[in-house]
Amino acid sequence: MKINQKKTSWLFAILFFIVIIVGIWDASALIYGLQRGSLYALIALPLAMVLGIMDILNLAHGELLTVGLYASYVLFINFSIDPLISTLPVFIFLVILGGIIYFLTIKKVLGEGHLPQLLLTFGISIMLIELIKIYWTTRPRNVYRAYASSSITIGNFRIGSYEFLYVFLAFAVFLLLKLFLKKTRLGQAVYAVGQNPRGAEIVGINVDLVYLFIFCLSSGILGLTAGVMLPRVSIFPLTGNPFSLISFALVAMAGMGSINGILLAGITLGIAEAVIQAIPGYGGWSDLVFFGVLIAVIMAKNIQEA
Amino acid sequence: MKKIIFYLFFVIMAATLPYYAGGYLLHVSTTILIFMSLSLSWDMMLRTGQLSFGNAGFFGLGAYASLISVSNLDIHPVLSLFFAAVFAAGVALVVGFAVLRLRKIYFAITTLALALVFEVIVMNLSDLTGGSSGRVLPQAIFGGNSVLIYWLILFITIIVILISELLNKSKTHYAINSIRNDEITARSSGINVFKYLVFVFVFTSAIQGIIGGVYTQQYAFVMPESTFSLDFLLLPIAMALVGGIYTTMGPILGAIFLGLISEYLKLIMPYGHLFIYGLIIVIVILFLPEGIYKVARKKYRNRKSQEVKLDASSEGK
Amino acid sequence: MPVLKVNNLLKKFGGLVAVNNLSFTAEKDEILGIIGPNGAGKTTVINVIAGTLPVSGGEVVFKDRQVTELPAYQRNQLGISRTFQTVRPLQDFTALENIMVGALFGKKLQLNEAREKALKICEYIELERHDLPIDKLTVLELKKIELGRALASDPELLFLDEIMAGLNSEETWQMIELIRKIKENEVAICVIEHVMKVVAELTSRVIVLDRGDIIAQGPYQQVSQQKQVITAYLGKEG
Ligand SMILES: Nc1ncnc2c1ncn2[C@@H]1O[C@H](COP(=O)(O)OP(=O)(O)OP(=O)(O)O)[C@@H](O)[C@H]1O
Ligand SMILES: [Mg+2]
Repeated sequence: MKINQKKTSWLFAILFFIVIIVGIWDASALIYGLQRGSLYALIALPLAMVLGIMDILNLAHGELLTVGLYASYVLFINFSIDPLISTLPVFIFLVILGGIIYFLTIKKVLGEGHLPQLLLTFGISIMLIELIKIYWTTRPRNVYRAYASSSITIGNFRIGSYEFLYVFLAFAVFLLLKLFLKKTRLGQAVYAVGQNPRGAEIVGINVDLVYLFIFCLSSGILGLTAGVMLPRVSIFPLTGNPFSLISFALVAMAGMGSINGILLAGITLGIAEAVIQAIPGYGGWSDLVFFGVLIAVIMAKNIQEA
Repeated sequence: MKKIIFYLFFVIMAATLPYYAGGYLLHVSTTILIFMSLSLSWDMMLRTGQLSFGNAGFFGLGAYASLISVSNLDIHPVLSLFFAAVFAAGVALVVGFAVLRLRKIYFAITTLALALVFEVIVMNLSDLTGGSSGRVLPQAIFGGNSVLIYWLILFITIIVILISELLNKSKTHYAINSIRNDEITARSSGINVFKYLVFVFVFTSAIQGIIGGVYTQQYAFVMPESTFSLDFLLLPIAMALVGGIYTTMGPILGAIFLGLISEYLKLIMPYGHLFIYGLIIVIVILFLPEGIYKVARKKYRNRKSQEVKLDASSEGK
Repeated sequence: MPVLKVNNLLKKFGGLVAVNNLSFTAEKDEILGIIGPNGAGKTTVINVIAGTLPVSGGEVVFKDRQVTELPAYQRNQLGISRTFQTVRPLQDFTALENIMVGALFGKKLQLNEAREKALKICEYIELERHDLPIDKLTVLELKKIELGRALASDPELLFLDEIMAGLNSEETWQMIELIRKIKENEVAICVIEHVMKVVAELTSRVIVLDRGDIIAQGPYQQVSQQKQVITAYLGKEG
């Protein structure tokens, strides 16, 4: 992965601008956006890793998150394991699931071009959605935890305090990842493979192993996130689905391969979304603005002469 | 010549189906034809090398355009299909000017997002569209006469098949095939890449629109959840892949094959029967990337050439 | 009147100046050679003249017409053709169909006309096995497809980017004869070539590029004696 190769300064500028405006107008939107945006970034990071290093856009990304949510849900319902505690077993479960998916499918389409890769992961995403439907139907499910619905009051605003965990987790994961890439041998290998897989192969790096590791780790991070999310979301087979798209938009916004950019892009998008939702009477249209922004971002950064 | 007789035979068989098949088989055949057209339209766009996930979106637009033009403008249902086609084509033209400058994953994911945008817009224009609860027509097309509906859809499907065949025999075939193979070579050989992409995108969207219209007129209702359903994206893709992409025969065979399986699946697993389609896509991509049609054709050709060789060697004796 | 005139052509890739204020002309009755060490910017010159890449500055005038802003396909239709250094055949077509594409779109012929034209070209360039799919062909045949497709649009300016690379000496001679034959049809030809014997044999004039600059030009015999040219090449080797 080409870390920090692309400049993220324009994102900084936009973020700064929005923060000032929003901060004056509605401080709660700012905090809400920070929380929401951290979650987006946390979910986008694994997609960025797989895309940046393996050159595969995983359309089943959101569904891996959904699987994590249901796994955590099952642990809670059947074994009364608190979602926050279940993050660990779910992490391990998703690492294993990621490994299985990698060996059975992804491995076979590496370097085969975008067409089979997109169709394959699209097929996997459908399979996961439908499997969940078969077992749990489409009925939404919730897990209530008292600690997750606490809130704090700042001035006139009430803000969920549990969601600060997203912010904490996002920054922790990003920091750990950067440390890992810089300080460990495996991290260096990952870096090298991201830069130039053939070159890495020549200098004796086991590229296949690196890919396996990246795919498993990505899947695992989604499991971790799922456990933390569970007390605050209602889950159904399509819960994770929009996140594939959102994550891709963040990656496009940040510039392929920029880790810092993803965090910034996530927070920017989170705040923008909070602002739109705060406009009274337009709640239904907020999705449109949201997708509109996503499309605009992808277009703006990737248009080529046609 | 042999081929034409062969085709004619099938057309006559299909056209006379209502006389020898029961109501259930007629219904199944109607559904298969609908998906066949969708599958062909998706494949025709794929022949340019651009993977679109937007087909369900244009299907939905056509569905709404048809219903609204009938209920609000009092247009004849058959005429409303043209309206659906023109509307979908118009939107595709405007949208195409932007998204067709994207390539590969960027194009694919943007068309995916576009389909969602269409749905959100439809949901929110509730005065016109009935919002999330949708709208109904007082009556299905042709008073709900399933034989006439079948013939209408058969007629449209035959036209779509002809378009697909013509496309594969025309100058456009050389353009879009070149674009798919190597865009830079295409450009340096005098091909106006953008023009051809817009052209194919617009007319495949028109097909999707018209099919959306027919579907709506058949069932006399629209609703975001079912009109923009994943079925209309997933099934056509699976069908084309199973049958074999870049051909006319592939989507036709795929639609018949999966269409029949799908009826059976719906009976044995009412929940989550789409799982099989996901699985089929995965299996085809991993183990049968050429689809049934091309593999079968190759086998047939190999056998033929072997027979020729055998003939030659026996003559030698 | 020169067929091609480029003035102060500039091409940058980020901070790298690949082509630096280049000016030269190409005439109908000559074969112009463009030579220079690896990375000198030779292919980039073709790319910006043929429209494959946009220029960063300067202008390209073809037959007295400004084509600097025109897209590649229009330049091809006007009469600028090129081959690629690494061959770029259209995989799903046969050799003949590959050549047809140039006639269909570069020359705007109809299908049957284009097929006839392509057949004639196959004969002209001595490509016998033109019904085979691409993956069954030899290097020489692939190079001939490149050439055939470029010829099919009846170019008046033809760029050949290292078309001899990968050919053995007999095949190279065949190709030299072919290029001479093409020149007789009033086509201005620019060849990029690394093999100096070929350059000496084929070209009436050469331009020597080094890091985006013209460091010498003139007949090959003259240019090859010049000191800066020798250093540029030796610098690359040593
Ligand atoms: N698309 C591109 N993006 C960035 N840099 C490029 C691109 N194409 C070429 N370059 C750079 O421009 C310089 C000139 O490259 P070019 O391919 O024109 O050289 P060349 O003279 O054709 O070399 P060779 O003899 O190896 O073919 C090189 O440094 C190359 O790395
Ligand atoms: Mg070169």
